[in-house]
Amino acid sequence: MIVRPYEAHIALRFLLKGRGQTVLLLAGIAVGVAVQFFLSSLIGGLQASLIESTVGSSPHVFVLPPDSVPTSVLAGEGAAVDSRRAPLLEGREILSWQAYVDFLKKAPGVTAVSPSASGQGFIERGGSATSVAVKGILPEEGAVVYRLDRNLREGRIELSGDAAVIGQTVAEKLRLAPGDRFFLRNNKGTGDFFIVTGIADLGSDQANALVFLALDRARSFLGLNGVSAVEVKVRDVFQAEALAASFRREFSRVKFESWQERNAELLTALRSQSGSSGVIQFFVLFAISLGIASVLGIAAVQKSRQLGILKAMGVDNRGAANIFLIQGLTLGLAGSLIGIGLGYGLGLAFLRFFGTGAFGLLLNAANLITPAVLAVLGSALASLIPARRAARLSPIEVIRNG
Amino acid sequence: MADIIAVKNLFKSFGDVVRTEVLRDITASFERGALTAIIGPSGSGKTTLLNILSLLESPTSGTLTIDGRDFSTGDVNAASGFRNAHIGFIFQFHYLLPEFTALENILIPHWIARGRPPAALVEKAESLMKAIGIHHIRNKHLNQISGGEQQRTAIARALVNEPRLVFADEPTGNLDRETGFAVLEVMTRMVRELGTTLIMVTHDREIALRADRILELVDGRVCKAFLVREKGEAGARALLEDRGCAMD
Repeated sequence: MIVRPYEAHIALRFLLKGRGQTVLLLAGIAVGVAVQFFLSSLIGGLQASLIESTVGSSPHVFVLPPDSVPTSVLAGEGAAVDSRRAPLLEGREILSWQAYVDFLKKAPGVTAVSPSASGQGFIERGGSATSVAVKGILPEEGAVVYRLDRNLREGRIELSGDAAVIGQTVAEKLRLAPGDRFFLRNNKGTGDFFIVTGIADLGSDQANALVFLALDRARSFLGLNGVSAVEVKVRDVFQAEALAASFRREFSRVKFESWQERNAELLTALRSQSGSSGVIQFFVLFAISLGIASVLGIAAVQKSRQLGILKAMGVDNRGAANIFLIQGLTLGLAGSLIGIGLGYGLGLAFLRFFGTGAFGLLLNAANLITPAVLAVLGSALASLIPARRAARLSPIEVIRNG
Repeated sequence: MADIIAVKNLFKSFGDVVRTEVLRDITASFERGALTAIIGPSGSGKTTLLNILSLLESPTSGTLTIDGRDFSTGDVNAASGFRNAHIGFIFQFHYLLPEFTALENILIPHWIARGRPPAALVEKAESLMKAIGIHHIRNKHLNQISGGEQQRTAIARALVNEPRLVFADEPTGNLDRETGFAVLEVMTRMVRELGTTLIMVTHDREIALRADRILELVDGRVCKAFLVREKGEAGARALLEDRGCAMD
């Protein structure tokens, strides 16, 4: 659309002179954009915090022994399973884990790889035994996977010899503090003493029931020859499933499981939440566009006389249409800018007065720009109706009928 | 002087089901730089003829030539471009834009043709306003000025681009007689100073008699066409009183 100076001159004057209408339209667009911006920021923030609490402090892809999930006894095409395809020794643990670790460390998109040895344990204290989940990790890589540096609440991260970093639930239940010794029994009945070096809060009760030990110490404690899993942290959590799929094509003797597979319900919930907020946002935009279309439509009727005389003076059909398109675009742009400011303020106020600290607003460019762009497009589309009317108007009709 | 507009065998009818023939076989020419008055009883087709001559409407059949260009086909965009560049309008209802001040209204034809008016043109518009006695209302909006001032503003707007042609449809029609004559006086003076061709529709014989040439329409046909100075004022007046049709 090439705008000629007079089109903008007349369009802006029409807007300025129809102040009441202009203010109402701007308010409508601004409120619409603000609501969209606020809603998408809020839902984005909520989803980000849900995902963060789900996978922020846990592995994104698990490399598991093939047997740790039930498999079909049929090896495809109706043949019975071939005993050679499921090596007996690797049934419940991964023996050749070092090779996987080396490969995965080099894979693009992977930020940390840690082998882990997991199993059940019981801490005996004060005459009672409490069940805990024992997890042996490599101190450095494991600390990255479980974000121990960020999640540490007390003590320090030290995993060597008899040192143990315990989850907050374990610490609270058994009243353990850094420096305390405790007796950990394995499921074969034997056990050993460990010393608490740090207490970490991993976000969920399940994760906070963990007792982290050094990998080798955990393997001997649990009686494992290999490891129970290789745990992988990736840069973009939503790429985890795609990465897992690519790993599956490389290796057939182990099983790759992404966090998405483990949290399918959460993902479904997030998707339906996004979907419903999308529907709400669509209808907000639709309502705004209808408002603009009807107000500008009325304006086009009210301005028939002016348009007729402008056309008599030489404004062509395109010029007459552009006068309304410019009004629509100007309203959309100005309304969006006000709306973004309003939405931002609304978000900050919401966080200030109702913020629980559980989640924040996701104030990113997409949330900011999308409603603004949609509002501008909506306004432009809405102004097409009066623009067409203006283009079709014959000056002679106006002059003849007064 | 040469003719600026020539029409030949011009017909105009309205309606598809019931056809009303408004103009029937009009052949006429309009001299460059002259003031022509089109008169006739209501319904005689004078406004329709003016609208066709000013390219607001296209004829049903016949030819229309303005300044050597053929406009018989009714190409809307060519017509609007030509209107903007060469034609000024003064209507019975002034049709000023209420969103703009008097001075801004006068400058609108320039905005349409060439964008923001340069300082020289604003000055010219202001001196035009001075010449027709409306300089004091230059920054006022429509609702703050009188009918006579509005009509004079419309005259200034029609003349500011120095068009070759100015069309006026009952320019003093909704003014009281005294103001009407004052406005007419201003209009004819400016048109003569600028050498513009003025074609004016009026039902007022007194006003028509101030023109160089009078064209009378009756029932969509040219009834009389004569030069006022050739007939003398008394002769012209007598011709206008006569109900029969006479061509010069």
